[in-house]
Amino acid sequence: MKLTRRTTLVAGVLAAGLALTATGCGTGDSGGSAANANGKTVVRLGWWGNDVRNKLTTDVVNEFEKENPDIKVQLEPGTWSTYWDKLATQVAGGSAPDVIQMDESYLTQYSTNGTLLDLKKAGLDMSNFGSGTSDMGTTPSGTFGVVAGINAPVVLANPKVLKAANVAMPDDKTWTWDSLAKDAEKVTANTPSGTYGSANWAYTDFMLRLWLRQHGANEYDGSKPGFTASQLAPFFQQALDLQKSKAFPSASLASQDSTTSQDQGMAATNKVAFSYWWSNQITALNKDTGQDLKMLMPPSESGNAKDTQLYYKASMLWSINKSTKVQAAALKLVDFLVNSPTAGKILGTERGIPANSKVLDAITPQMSDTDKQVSDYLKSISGDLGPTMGLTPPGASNANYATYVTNLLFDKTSPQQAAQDYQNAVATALKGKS
Amino acid sequence: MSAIAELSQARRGRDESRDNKAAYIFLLPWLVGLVVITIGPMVASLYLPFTDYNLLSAPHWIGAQNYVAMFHDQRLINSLKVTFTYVFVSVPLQLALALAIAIVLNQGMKGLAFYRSVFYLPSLMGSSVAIAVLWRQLFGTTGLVNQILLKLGVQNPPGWIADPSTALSTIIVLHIWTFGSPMIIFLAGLRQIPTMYYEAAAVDGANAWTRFWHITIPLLSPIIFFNLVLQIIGAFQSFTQAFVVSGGTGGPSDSTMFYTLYLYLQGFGQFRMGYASAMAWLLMIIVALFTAVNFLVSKYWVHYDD
Repeated sequence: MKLTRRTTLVAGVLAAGLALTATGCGTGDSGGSAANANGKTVVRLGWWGNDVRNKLTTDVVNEFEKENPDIKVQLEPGTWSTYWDKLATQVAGGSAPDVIQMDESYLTQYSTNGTLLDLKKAGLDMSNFGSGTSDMGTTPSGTFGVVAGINAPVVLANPKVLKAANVAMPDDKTWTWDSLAKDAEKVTANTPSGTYGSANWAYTDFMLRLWLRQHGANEYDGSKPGFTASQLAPFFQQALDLQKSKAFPSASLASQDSTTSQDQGMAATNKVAFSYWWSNQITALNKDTGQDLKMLMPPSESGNAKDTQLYYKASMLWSINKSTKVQAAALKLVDFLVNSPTAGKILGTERGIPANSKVLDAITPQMSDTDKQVSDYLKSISGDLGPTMGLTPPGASNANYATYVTNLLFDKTSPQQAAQDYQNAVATALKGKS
Repeated sequence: MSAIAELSQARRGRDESRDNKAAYIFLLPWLVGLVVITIGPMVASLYLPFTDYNLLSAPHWIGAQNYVAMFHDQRLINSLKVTFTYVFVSVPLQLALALAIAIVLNQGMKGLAFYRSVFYLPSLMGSSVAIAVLWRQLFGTTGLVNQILLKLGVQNPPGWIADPSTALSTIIVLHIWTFGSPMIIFLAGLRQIPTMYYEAAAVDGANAWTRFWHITIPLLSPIIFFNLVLQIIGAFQSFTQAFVVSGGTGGPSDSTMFYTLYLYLQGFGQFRMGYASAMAWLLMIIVALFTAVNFLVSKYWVHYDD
């Protein structure tokens, strides 16, 4: 065939097309590739976080790479709001990271479907973990997550806002839901418009759970709702009342705040005096608000701290992708993250208090003031804990709790109706998902 | 003579088949993409609705359970309501605005090219994530729109994206804002209407409204029909705007839960890929139905020039 311009052009297009298709197919399974050009083993680490956590994670990974020069860790940070969609897509495509930051509410789902490695069987060392903490990632079929840090529910009080409103810092060993409400009303009244006493705690899952536990119920009971509509209705009524009395922000502000990212919400921008978080979130919030927020135990009905029914929770867990091609290296990384005092010193309490008591002892002397505060808080509530909180059953998120709170706050349903609707939703969502 | 004719016929035949071969080779990358990325998954998704597939383990057969479950799913029925409201409010309003502006631009003016580009720009970026993020900020409870309203003395401005009764309206407004692309098509169509019709009508004493209703609309009707079909099909498939403006939740209170968003949340959030596939086929049937109705009804109001 003569080498005409046409032939060359056609050959060129064919070659380019084939090359593109080849690259396209190639990148598909680089997710599990075991070695990069330098001959090091590559371990992919995926997590959700914020700027503070991302920097700490980068630092701890650099330290790990120093101690393990034959391993390179590929960092894959993310944000909470998009993390689970991304992970589901990656798992479906077979390109999930090797080490995965995991949350207890998703753990059962991912473990029953064979995505996660049984860590105890793989030989992860949890011998120095405090009592009860080595089982925080255990389901009936095995241990699929190791607790990355322990935290507990906390009320964060903003000293500047309280001072501007002339409201004294409350005593968290004796306060009640009512006294917190009254303080919040005072704050709203005494501060410029746009600043409120309290975030709307009805949107916060652990406030719902604490309230239910204090009133003899629970959010879940195995794969059924753990409450009746009449047990839940007063909680909703209270939220509606506090919105009317302006202790809480308006319905629009509260509904918007519930889907805004942490660093742009009302708490981080100094617009509320009391907000509701997990104890490890104080590190990032101190940075956002530019203050030292005060950690307070959530209130009880009686004013007696022993009735608060608090519980420890794994703030997050580390899991390993069962189909990882670098299992040994991944296990080394997870072991470093949870058992190494060096890692503990770098990570601090940003992911929660270390479960490994040796690591905790090692980091206590050098703890920053914030870390000390968190550690002291967890110790201070240890005598007033209620029963251990079980894992969230799979399918629970399909119950879509926020919708019922929004309907309530915008006066579309009565508290009794909202409570009944949510109970029905939980029953439907949990059915057939176990 | 016939030998030469035969020879040139054969030469033409050979040229044509060489042309065809070259054409297919150029098309090959796109064809591969079509089969692998579009047709292949579509065929696979014929099977998936009859399975329970949670992405993490292999699908297993459950018969028509997914389709049955769809009829009892309140959130799905709600998402249909939301989507229908969105399509049948935003598309007519968008097209009406596009036509109005096109008519104004058609009068001709200084800087016509500039205005055309400026009006077209939003429709280029309108379905992008960046614009949706911007929209969420603008229409936030303390966003720019409310700040302006407060300055103008409005006491309690609506919560816009945070209030279940106004959240969908903000997305409808976003769609109407992207009127540029149908506008350009209308403008082209208006240019094709011979001015002699208007002159004759003016001579006969027709006023502007009569001229619009009896000349512009009938002669523009094929283009209106084209825009209508395309915009309805596109609007049924909207996803990005709802996802970003609601923060991925379809909230507040499922008021912005578009059908596609609910499909996505069921498939990737709840790991119910079989159910999501069933939803996808229902969407296709709905869109096909409305397109068919559109075509059937068109013979009553669309006039084609011969």
